[in-house]
Amino acid sequence: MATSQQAIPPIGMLGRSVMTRRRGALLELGAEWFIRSTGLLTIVLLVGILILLARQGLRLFIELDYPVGRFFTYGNAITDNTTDPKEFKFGVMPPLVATFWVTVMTLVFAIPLGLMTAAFISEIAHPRVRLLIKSAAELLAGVPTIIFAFVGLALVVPRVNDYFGWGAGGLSGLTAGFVVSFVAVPLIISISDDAMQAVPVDYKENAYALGCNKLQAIWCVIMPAAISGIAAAVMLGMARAIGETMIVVILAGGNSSLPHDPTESMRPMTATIAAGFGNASEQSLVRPALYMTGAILFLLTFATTLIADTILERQRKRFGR
Amino acid sequence: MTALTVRSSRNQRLDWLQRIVFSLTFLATVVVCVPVAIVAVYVISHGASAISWEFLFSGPARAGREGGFFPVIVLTMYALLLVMAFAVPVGVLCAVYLAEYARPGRLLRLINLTIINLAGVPSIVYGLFGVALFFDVIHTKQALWVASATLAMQALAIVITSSREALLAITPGIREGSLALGVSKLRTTFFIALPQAFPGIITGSLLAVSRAAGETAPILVVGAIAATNVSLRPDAIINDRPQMLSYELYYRITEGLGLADERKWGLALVLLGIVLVLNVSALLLRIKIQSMGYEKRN
Amino acid sequence: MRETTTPGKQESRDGAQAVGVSLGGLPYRPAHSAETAPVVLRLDKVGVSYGNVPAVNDVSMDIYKNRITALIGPSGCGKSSILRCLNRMNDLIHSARVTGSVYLDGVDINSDAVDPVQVRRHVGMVFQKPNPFPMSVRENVAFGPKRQGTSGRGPLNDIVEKALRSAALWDEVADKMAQSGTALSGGQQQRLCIARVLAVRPEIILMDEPCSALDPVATLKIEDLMRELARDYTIVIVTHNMQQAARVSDYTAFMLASEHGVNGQLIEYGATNEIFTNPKDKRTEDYITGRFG
Repeated sequence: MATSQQAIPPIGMLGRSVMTRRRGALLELGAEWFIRSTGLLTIVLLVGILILLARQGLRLFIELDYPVGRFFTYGNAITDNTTDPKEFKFGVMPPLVATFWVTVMTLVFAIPLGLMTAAFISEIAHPRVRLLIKSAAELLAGVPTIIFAFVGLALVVPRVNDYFGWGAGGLSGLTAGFVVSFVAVPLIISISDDAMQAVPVDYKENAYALGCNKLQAIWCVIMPAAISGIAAAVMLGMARAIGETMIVVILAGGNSSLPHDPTESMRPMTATIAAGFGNASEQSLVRPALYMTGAILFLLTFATTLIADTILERQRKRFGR
Repeated sequence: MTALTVRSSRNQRLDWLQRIVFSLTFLATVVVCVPVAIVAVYVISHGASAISWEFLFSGPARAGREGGFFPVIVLTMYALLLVMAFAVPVGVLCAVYLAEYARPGRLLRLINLTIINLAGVPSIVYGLFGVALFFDVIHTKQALWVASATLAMQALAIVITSSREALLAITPGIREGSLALGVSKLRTTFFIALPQAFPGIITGSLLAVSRAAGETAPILVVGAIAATNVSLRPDAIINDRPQMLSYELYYRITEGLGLADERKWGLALVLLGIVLVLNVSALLLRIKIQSMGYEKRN
Repeated sequence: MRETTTPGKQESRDGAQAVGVSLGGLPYRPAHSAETAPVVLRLDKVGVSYGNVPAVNDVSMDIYKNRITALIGPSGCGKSSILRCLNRMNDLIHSARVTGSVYLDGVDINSDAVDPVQVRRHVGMVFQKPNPFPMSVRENVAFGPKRQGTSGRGPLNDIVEKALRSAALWDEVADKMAQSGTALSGGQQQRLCIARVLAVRPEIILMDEPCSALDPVATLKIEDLMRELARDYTIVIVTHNMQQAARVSDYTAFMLASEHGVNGQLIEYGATNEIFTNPKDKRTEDYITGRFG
């Protein structure tokens, strides 16, 4: 055998060359650490958003002496430029409830539309149709929401006003939710289609082998198997609805008091920030109040996204993709 | 034998149910796709008449009621270029870290989760963050740059995700081939991996920029201005507050009866045009990449 | 960089004796009693584990200059893991852990003082699946030299032509230099990958089942090429084709795992004709006579 003795051979030319430093090795090391730091930048950004919003928002209670209880319970959200905490009439409850109504209305329209379309393109239609519809949905997702709002204002609002007379001349939470649903639908389609595609083919084949027809296979086998992906799709659509701003600014009506049902004119959190921030003076209590509202908005979408991702991760583990 | 040919009433009911449900899903698909057509047709039919040489290439007069929106269009393009300049290098480097350097583990999971969450943060929250960071902490006055930087932060998640996907889609053997030649990892990344991922990175950047072009809420918060009688000065790109098509449209919709409807739809058409051109080119590029990959596999 | 490494390389290339002399003072006992070539790689108790699962351990062997050494054994015995230790390719697998020492011309390449990139410049590698870069044939071959600082059309063209000639590919691609490397046939692609390695002028070439994705004709061409290259280079090849090992190699190491992918071991190492005609270990005999694996 070749290995009877363990003497280390003396170092030759080749060995010495292996130990020499490459030209520019230090520079490359620096560049690599720079690249690593950009990875951490994303965490810094996300944490930075929360910290900065909270810092600016908590001033309202700490420096400006606005009562915390009043902020969370007061039934109006008027953003006039007062510097006196006793005169300030801002509570986060009305915007929060308005956001809730708009989101619920969005989901009422978006869930059936999105899931049925996803089932159609994923299981029923020809793969080429699937590609076509997915592209169309993507284009739909790319249309600026301000244009949706404008078209909604021209097409949907007059009809809502004529037939139902809801809200302020057709501007209501329901109107806004209906239009927002077209923004949320592409997201729901895309993610739940992915989830249904991820269900192994054997599941379907087994269902057919047991004498199921296509509908039964979809309803009893594929949908239940893809349920976590579908749930995540709905959650992400919900996050999209919570954060949507321009449609809500223009179509929800803008009433700052507490809404009791979705057909009223209302002003959700995003719209409250958008409408009030530009006009607010530096000294007034408006900006801190809106920062605080923004922080709550951030936490809401953060939690929703986090839950959706946890669900998706479970689905991925289950089907290995 | 007859059992196979005679349909039981239960089976018939099931078939009918299936037909009805499938028709409903088809209907839903149509309902989803129709808005694309409606929006496009409506905007074009109402706005096309406003589009003229003057509308696109001259400055505004009488507070925008006459003349054109040239300064807005130019400043929008300029802001989008800035967005690209801010977001693409950082986003691509971050994607390089995630795809080439990061080791699987808790940190990678955390960063991936962060990116998903960054994509989900509402645009108006980015606007608030931009104001707080650039005006209150850094104390800068360049509102146009601040607006672009804010939009870039929002675009970051899209750039990172698509670039990372593009990098991960490269056959791993190619990287090993380069490393086995004694080429360092950094050089392998820049000379082998990134050129391969280039089309995917472009697709993601186009999508991100098109999203930024349509974004209104952050601009609203950062503080944009609408077109007035002032025509474009050369120094506007450094000193001015941002003028963006999306904001201009919002301003004109909400200002009341200031502007003829036709001109508002004209603005919407220009905005939609820019966004759709960016979007469709991204889409075509992706379909092309996918079909190339398909050929390669066969 | 080239400037600093080239003289040393030429010295060791032109006068193999130079290294031989420097090693001459040590009492080597070569695997083949008549072996006079110097040792360029010495493996000392090398082991690899993935996560906590030991894939292969305690491999000690010497690899001789300008000889072809074949690693054979059933799949999952750790041949490739050992091969990848020889130019630190295992660094790229996050869960992989390498123990023991690999001496390249007297230097343990696993030590901190050694730059893995430098190691790979001297120890090139050809992979199981041909992996040409998606660029032209010329760019494929010029890629390595360019990244190491060679520039200018003239010098690069010379390197490319020489490498392609050495890889017995020049006649087939001389008029296709601008074509994509991925458009060549499988066998041509693999020879292109060999040419790519030759262009950076390594001392040692590692080949990880280089013919397993090729048809018999292309396989024979690569085998001929290996014999040709052995005059200038040291080659270590992993193969699970025993005939191939018998045809091309001077030395053969037989490896075996206790179960699939766990605890691979070096069973027997020696001159190829001895291993194939007169194996000392019963397991080697079983394997080469086709009783298992």
